[in-house]
Formats: sequence, structure tokens, C-alpha cells
Amino acid sequence: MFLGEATKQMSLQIVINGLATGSVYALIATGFALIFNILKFSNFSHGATMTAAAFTAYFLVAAKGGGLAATLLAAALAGALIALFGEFFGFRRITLKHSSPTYFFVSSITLGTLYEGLVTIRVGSNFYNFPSFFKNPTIRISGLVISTGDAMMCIISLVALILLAYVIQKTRLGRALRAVSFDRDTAQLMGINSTRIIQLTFVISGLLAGAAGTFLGIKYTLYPTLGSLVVKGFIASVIGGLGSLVGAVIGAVLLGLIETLLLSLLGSGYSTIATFGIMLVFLLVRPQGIAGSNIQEKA
Amino acid sequence: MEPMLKVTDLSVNYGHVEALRGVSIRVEKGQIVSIIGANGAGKSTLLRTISGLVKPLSGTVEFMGERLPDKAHKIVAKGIVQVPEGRKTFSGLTIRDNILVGGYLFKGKELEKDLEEQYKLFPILEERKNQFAGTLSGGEQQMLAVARGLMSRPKILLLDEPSMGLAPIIVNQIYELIARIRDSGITVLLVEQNARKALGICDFAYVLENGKINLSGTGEELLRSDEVRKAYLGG
Repeated sequence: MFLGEATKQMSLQIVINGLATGSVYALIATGFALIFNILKFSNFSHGATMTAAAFTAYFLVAAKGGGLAATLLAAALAGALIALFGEFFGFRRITLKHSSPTYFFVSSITLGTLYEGLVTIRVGSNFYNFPSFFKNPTIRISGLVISTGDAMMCIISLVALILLAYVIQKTRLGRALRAVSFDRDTAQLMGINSTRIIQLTFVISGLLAGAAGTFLGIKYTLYPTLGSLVVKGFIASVIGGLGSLVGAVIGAVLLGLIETLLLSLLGSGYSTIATFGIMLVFLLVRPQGIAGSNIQEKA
Repeated sequence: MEPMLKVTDLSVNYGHVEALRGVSIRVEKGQIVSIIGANGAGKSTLLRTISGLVKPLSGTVEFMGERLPDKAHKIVAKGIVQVPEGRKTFSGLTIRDNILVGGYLFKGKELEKDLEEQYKLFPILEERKNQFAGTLSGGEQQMLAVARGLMSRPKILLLDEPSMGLAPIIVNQIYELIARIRDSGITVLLVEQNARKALGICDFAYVLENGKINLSGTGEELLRSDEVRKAYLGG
């Protein structure tokens, strides 16, 4: 098929927008997958953590004239604190008692509803806009129009993910995190304080949630149910393979690309339906996702 | 003289099931002490209680004259290191990472040095250091589990059924390894179903039945005892 110059330009534009969207989804999906890995449950309070962290940064920093870096930092820290709070009050006892995953499920939904409720009390059901952080809202590169926000989002997410990969693959704490994810009891036999490592995981997940919440707030707007976009991270995790961090990133980028493409072809209504359709197909045909799972015991 | 490890009147319940009932054992420094018993006798429970993974109902564990801390990870730091039943290697981590996780309590040059030492002891592990642990055979996984345990610099190594599921020739290798570990100055508490092997190597042994110590003696004494021969050595 012959592509005209204009069509090529448009496809490139879709790819770029898709990558930007995908990079935020990747932050959500990895934050989600980290907790899934270490405690084996889907943390449904992750979305509300994103919202609460982004709003905290909005009120404490952005609304007072703080820049993007300060706002992101505040959101990440707020996310980490909220995640630590959740770990202690929502999950610690259940973890130590080796209780059924159902309790994690109930607990995480309760926490999520609580956070969302608290945010709603403070802000009502209004929409808030982050101040525009950039002098030029768009960058033009040879005919392509890229929103500065999208570009920053891409770059910062990429840096965050590379940093995360480094910590998890190459450092002593990262190794401990992976060991605890595989087998908490056995990890303790190596002198690892599993509770501390679980806390650390929640901190990392919270940092990612704060950053993701801020990016979503910049890209769309801030509102109390913004956290429901966590389903994108969830879908990405399922496509990539639940529990696999690499899979989560691959799934997120794919999802971002597909969504942007469908958005331009079908419009927003059908595109949402289609992405859920894709997730269903994956659950049906390849429930282990693209990366699959490498959890395998050998006697 | 006080023994290195002294377990006194230890009782453990899982829910309403009594797993251990008044178990007392002593392990002298530099020795290999074996605990033999059938499946479900409470052998693993005993090791898991010493390691702090299971909390006892009553009784005490003393190590070099001191009561042990509560948390499992602090007990490791004292020098009590368990190689768990079924190896429990981290299958999705590389062999190198598995060994390094074992040395979690150590850092930098010390850690690197210990890693090199394990590679010297187990050349096969160095050859495959970048493979996932899940790709190793059962015997190699047992070696990896032991190497990982040695990385914690144990004063006493608790081995839970190291011969489980392994071919006889591999079992012999593992037992040679256990003797070498003892010779290097590390005390060994060995738990086994393979009574012949475990009694053959040890300085002293206990027979655990239904959560109670029924017999004890040197390995030779127990190998000769009618009771042990009937129940554990096939007549």
C-alpha cells in the first residue's frame, strides 16, 4: 500500500502520542505489578493513591506557583507516604498472618474508597487544572506537533523506569525485593527483613503512583475519580503478563499505541470498549500475557 | 560444657494439631547431629522453629548460651542458617543472584569474596551463573541452596532433607559436601528421612516420632538398634 506524505505524517503523529500515553500507563502498570509481585494481589487502592498524591501536590506546590519538578517531587513523596500508610493499616496484619488473598482484595478496595472519599470532601466533584508548566505548550519538529507535556512525560517516565530497572536488577535491595517476591519465608532465612522490603516496595509503588497521577492531571484534568484510569495500568499488566515488570511496560506501551490509533479511527467511545475487548481476548487466549510467568518450582 | 545449640522442652502447635511435644535436643560445636523420622514426624517444624519462622507454644531455644531473638532475619545474623526442605531456590533469579541473596547481610568486597569462594566450591554454579536457578537439576539446585546458605556465614547450618528426591550417586556427593562443611568448622544439624545416610555421617542422632524424641544415641548405636532397623532401615 502506498502511503501519501500526509498519511505518513499522521501515522507518525499517532505513534508519538501513543508512546506518550503508553509511558504514563507504564508508570501505573509497574507500580501495580510491583505490589502484585510481592504480595500476590491486585492493589485496587493504587488508583486512588495516584489521585490523592496528585491533589496533594496540586494544593501544596502547583497552586502556590511551584514548577513541574517540585510538583512531581511532592506528588511522588505524597504517593510514597500514602502507600506506606496503606501497607501498615491495610495489609500488614493480613501479610503476617498469611491470610487469604480475599482479605487483600477487600482491604485494598476499602482503602481506595477511603482515599477517594477524602479527596472528594476536600475538592467536591470539581475539575482542577494544573497551571501550564511550559512556556511553549507544543514543540514542532519537521511538521510534527508534539505537546511539551507529552514529551516531558515520555522522558521522565523513561528515566524513572530505567532507574527502577537498575535498582531491581542490580542492587542489593533489588535482589532482596525479587527474593521476597518469590518466597517470603525463604528470603527471611537469608537474613532479609521481609516486612522492610515490603515497605520499600510500597514506597516505590507510591512514588510511581504520584508521578503517574500528576502526569494524568496534566494530560487531562484533576478530578476525584481520576484514579479510575488505573484500569489502564491493569489492562496493560494483563496484556503484558501479571506480575512481570517488563511485561507491564511492554503491555503499557502497546496499549497506549493501540488506544491512540483506535481513538483516531473510531473516536473515544468505541476506543475504550475496544481496549477492554483486547484485554478479554488476552484473558481468554493467553491469560499469562505476553511475557508469561517464570514462576516455576522444580523438586 | 554448654552445647552450641540447646533446645529445651519445645512444643509447637499448628492450629489444633500438636506438631512438637516437649522436644529437647543438644548440638555440640563442630559436630554433625542428625534427626531422623518419618514424614510428618515434626522434623521440619523443629528446624523452622529454631529458625524463627514458626513460634513455639512453649519451650526455649538457646544458642551459645543465649536466648534467640524473635524475628527470623535476626536469628540468621546470629549465625543460625537454614537450608530449607525442597531447596527453595529462587527459580526466576539467576544462579549468581541466588548466591548473592544468600549474602544479603554482607556488602561490597566481603560479598564478592564470599561469592568467589562458592564458585570455587561449586564450579558448576560458576559455569551457569547467568542461568535461571529453575533450569538446574535437582542435585544442582541442592548445591545452590547450600552455597546460598554458606553465604550467610553460618556458625551452625540446619539442613532439611538435603537428599530428598535425588539419585543415590548425587546423594553421596551431597553427603561428602556435608562432611566438608563440618570439617571447615561449621556445625551441622541434619534432618533426614534417609536414616542410613544420616546416621552414617553423624556424631549424635535423635529419632523423632509423632512430635516426640523417642530415641537418641550415636549414629552407630542407632544403626545397631532393633527399633531403628525395623522402622527406618527396612529390617
